[in-house]
Amino acid sequence: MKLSIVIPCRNAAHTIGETLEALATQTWPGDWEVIVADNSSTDDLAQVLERYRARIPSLHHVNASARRGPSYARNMGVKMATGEGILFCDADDIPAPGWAVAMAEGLKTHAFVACRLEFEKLNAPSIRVARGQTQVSALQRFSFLPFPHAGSGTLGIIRALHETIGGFDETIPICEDIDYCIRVQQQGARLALMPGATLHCRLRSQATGIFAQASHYAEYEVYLYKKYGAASFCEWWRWRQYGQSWRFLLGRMPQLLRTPEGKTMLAWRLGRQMGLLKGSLRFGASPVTVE
Amino acid sequence: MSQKMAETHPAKTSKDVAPTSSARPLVSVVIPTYKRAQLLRKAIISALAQERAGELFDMEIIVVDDCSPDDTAQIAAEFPQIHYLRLSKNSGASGARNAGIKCAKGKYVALLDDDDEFLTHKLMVQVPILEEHPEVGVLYGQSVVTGSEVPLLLWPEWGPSGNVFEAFVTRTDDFLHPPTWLVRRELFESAGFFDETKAGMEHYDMALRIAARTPWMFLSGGPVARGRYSQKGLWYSTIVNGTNEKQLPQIVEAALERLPATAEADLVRRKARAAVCASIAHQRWWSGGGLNPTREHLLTSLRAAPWLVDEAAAVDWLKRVASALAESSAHPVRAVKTFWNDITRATASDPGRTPLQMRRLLGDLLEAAAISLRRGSPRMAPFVAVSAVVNNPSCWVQPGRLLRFYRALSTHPVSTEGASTPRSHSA
Repeated sequence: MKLSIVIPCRNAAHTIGETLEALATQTWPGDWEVIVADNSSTDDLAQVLERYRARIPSLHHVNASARRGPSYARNMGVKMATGEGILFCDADDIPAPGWAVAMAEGLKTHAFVACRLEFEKLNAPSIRVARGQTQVSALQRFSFLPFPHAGSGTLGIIRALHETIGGFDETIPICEDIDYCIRVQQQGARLALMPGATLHCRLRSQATGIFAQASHYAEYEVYLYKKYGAASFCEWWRWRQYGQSWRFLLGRMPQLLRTPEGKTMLAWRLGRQMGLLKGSLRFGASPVTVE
Repeated sequence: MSQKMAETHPAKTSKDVAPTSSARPLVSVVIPTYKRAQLLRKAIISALAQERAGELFDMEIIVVDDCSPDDTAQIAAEFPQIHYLRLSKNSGASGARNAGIKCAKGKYVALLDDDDEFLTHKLMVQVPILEEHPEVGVLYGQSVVTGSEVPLLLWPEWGPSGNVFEAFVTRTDDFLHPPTWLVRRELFESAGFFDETKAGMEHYDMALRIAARTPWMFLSGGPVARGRYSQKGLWYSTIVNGTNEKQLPQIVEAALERLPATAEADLVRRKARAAVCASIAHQRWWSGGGLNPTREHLLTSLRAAPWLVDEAAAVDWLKRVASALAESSAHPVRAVKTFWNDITRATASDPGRTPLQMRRLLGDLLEAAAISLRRGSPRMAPFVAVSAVVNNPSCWVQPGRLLRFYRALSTHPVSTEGASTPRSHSA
């Protein structure tokens, strides 16, 4: 089976080098290609790619700038790919040795696979502690969804299945990976975790970035709750839970402000709280707390 | 992709050699339909889209039009490869299904409803398993349920395999979705066809009769069909108008007559009847009835069968009602005690219980109420908790019980009320 690795990227020239380096040193089970789906980058991406062209002979630079967002870039990348098996990877993450072989092995017996995440290599301890680590030993799961999910940069899928469901939803800017996992699994395929495949994941380290990301995630988790949970705005017990989580957070604030880990955690938590409220008002569902 | 999809299933087969045409089993897909022309088209398309049809198995599709007044005939005419059978008079879903099964020629019968769909790998996964396991009569599995009123569901989460009669008869919540079944056709002749006098739970009745004769096998690991749930649908209407409540006990009692007159069989009977009581309570609770009808149903059942008060399934519902009464009252302890008095009066005819046992029940009800109040009105919870301990004689002699109760109270209970939804049923 030919493999296509699809990497969406926008202004990621400073990190994609490491990703490509890791891909170039992987052992590969067969024919493969790398497709960098460029979502209107304005940095020196082309020069970075040029450097790796000798080491990755089938490196393709695809222009995916017609719409903004990683979903469009990924869909465009898959459209340009020639492989039967598609592996998604993000431009700021680094596949560990053995990643490609394990994922390809997985795609021989499963139509839909995910690798595990590892946070120690690329993140400072304070960030790791504050953020919590997901998908390290098991798939992620929300209580209101009947299927597990995994991050978009960790997925591998048989191309035909991707086409059956019409790819990633380009209308949502984030959490499109969860939506994708749910739609694929509604077709009867099951998401399988490949414990042999590891991806080193990079977390944001700036407090403002963490806050924004948390808020964005939480907002679209409410969207998913609305879409798949048949949620209404008036689930009072959820609002009460939401109020309680504010009280809990504010009560712990002085203690959290004392340490750098605490500050990071506070940024994450505050971001989530704001995002939940925003999502509830915007999509007309109750704030669903998944943590 | 087809191969991959087959192999994602845990119950995959390693057979990749396609059987020769004479060895290919014929599968009859029977689709009864009534006044749902547009949905029927989707159902037929999903049956025609079965992967590896003609390679692993042959397929005939039988659409039985239950005398629909709409343009069902035109829709059926769009698909020249299907058999279209129109009944001369309307005879209900069971009648239409039976008519379809009677003219089926296949080794296996796959039942599809006009508002449901097969996923494309259903027969490709199921047929080789039945071919390999001649001892299994019926395969059944999971569905994806969609609908604007319910969350996306994978239903049921689990089901028993093997000789399932006792498991089926003691599990009366609706966990059987006929579109996930693949049945050996001769079983319909030996076990009898669908009961045409029943509406709503006829598939449960059918399943019990088949389960009495042959092993079933549950396929977990992903859906094989897609169902729709709607409160406008048939299933929901049978709950609201009470048909379901009348039929469920009849079906279960008829099935229980098959059991021998032994002590073990008596245990199964008790469990099955308690399950019926709990299921009806569940249906009343969720179908808009809420607290009072549920309470009435439980008390009526207890008057008829006081021993239900010893059965866990029924006691769970007593606890639930007690919690709800406590939550809606300004005097939670008093509300629970009134309910307990009702229970005591209802079961007074049966001399089997000592006052001490009834006290214990009061303690349990208060305990459940205290735990659920912890979420709703935390200020009242400690009072109820104290009265639960005072009223429960087993708390005085079993310190372990106290400890467990304390733990349950102090850990914040995960709310189940809002998260759980009416049990999904495709209508």
